Amino acid sequence: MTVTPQEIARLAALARIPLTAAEADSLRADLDAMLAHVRTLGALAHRSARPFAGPGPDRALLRPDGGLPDPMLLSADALAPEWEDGFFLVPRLAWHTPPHVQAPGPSMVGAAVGWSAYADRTPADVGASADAAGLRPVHDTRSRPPSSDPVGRADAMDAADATPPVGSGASAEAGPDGARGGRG
Amino acid sequence: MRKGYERRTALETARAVNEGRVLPVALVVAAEAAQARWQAGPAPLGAFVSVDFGGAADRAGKLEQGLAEADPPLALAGVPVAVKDNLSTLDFATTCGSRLLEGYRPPFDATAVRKLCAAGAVVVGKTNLDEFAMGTSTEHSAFGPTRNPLDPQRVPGGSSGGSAAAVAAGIVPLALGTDTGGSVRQPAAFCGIVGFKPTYGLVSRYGLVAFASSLDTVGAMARTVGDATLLLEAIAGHDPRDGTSPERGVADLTSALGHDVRGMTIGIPREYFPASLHPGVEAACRAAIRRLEALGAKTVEVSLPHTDAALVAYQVISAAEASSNLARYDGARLGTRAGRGRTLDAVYEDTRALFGREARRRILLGTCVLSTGQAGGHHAAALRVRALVARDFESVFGKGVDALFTPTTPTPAFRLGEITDPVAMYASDAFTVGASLAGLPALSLPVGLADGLPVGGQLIGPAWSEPRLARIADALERALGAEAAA
Repeated sequence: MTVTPQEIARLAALARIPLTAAEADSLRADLDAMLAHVRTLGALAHRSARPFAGPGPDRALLRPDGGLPDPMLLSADALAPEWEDGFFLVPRLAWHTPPHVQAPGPSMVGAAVGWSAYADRTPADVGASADAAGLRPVHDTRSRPPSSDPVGRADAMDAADATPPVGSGASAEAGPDGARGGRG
Repeated sequence: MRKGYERRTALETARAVNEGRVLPVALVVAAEAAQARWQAGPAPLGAFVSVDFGGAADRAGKLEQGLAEADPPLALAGVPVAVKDNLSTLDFATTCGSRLLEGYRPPFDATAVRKLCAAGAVVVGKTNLDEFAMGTSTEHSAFGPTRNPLDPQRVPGGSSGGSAAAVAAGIVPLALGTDTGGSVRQPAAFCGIVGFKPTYGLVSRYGLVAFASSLDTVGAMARTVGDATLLLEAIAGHDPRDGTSPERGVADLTSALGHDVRGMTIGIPREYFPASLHPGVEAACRAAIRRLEALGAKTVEVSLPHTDAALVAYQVISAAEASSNLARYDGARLGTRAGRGRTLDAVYEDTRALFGREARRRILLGTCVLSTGQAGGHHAAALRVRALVARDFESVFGKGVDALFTPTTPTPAFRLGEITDPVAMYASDAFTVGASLAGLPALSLPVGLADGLPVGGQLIGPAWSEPRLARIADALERALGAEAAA
């Protein structure tokens, strides 16, 4: 047989199909018989200047064997490109207003503040926003230099996105989810 | 004498419903009774993976209320239909004959199913198939084989074997199948019914679970050419959800019925009548050719020199596309998660261990021909041979040939378990893969018997020539029917 046991094992690994030794032997024989026919194509292919121009590209777009472009197989660095003090910096998903605190209005509360909006803020920004809401984050270890625009675009975006918080479980002591502010 | 439910055509049934002579619910009851008869006994037919006659009766009842307002009348009013279980359906699970999709309930209907229902048809169940439509005998379903209703010891063909069996048994007059390399035409031939594979792109593939995307088509299966044409007309048409569905009007297929074939030129490709052809199949097909000549058609011998290579090219291309399409069934992105793997790799492998033997064989072949380790450039070579096959057809049709006539299969239906060599099994598609590779329409109709089993004759036409194929097949069917009745 021209298909070796190593070859069948390599193909099974690429296809992520587990095979017992008996299955591998049997499928190796099948594959060998099929490839004997497949090899006859090479002698004919030169008669056509171009591959079939059907749906899709003229040639198959192939990737190298091995690593799969699987979105679930990202490294920790790819998932969390920024670190500080041994912690991941993760995007803030929401600001929360504790239910017993009277929010001053939509200017502070953004239900969907994206990472870019939050990442541009300095501790002073966060503090200013918290002050405006009558809140203080109790813990924030970020050490970025102050922004030249401490209450700039980010707050404007907050205002645009403002919606009442839903089901917040945060306490007044914890602030607007401030205990985890900037870290995960 | 009035025909019973099991012999009445879909055309007759829809007319009776539209005229208020038959209630759609009564048709569902009749279908259920027929299915029960075929499932009783020591060798059940096994045509369906799932049925829901109660739900179908509900849908038939709702349809009945709207019939009076339908203008024009619904083409398939109240007609019970079966749908191959690789077409997505809201009302039924869609398993593809695989443990990997057992119990999967799609959140939408495939476009072909949606159009079928819009035309008034009532889906009663999903039919069995080789796993992910990879097979030619319907022996490779995770839910057991389907038997041929004409001889329960024989296969119904595949992969649309469940649809073919359900129609041939009289459970439903119409069924949807899918045809990648012959999966509508070959089972139609084995079961003595009509199978109509459209030009690639005529029927939307939206909602069809992909096997080999550049070859997959949705086709019509029925007991008569007229019914198959009616069904194809109902499901054809542009669909923006399928990128390979061209924006062109739907041809009026049924108006092609009832005409003669005088003056038409039918090509007879010599490569489709090899020395190894079953003598009974050859005799039936030669008799059909003589019948076409008697009807006034001119027949000419032609050559499609790359016919042998087409089968090999098909195996390479379809396996390559299958290995790529089926990569997503890993228990994380798609498919039933099997085992209790604690890593992603373990989850993937435990899940993909659910693939049956034929699916594994084709996935490994596809992985082989696509992998950088293989030296022969098999996939690239297969794509070039595909171009040669398409050029063969273009050359013949460019010389004034209106359609080709060939046997659909080299043999009649074989026995369950008779063929275990995969290469020998693939040879069953020898005469059907050419049209698939070239994306052409083709139709199989019963033209006689060999050893008491049905023989299918195949008509192949240029792209978008479905009306012409319907016209020729209808004329031949009427002539052969008159001959049999005489």
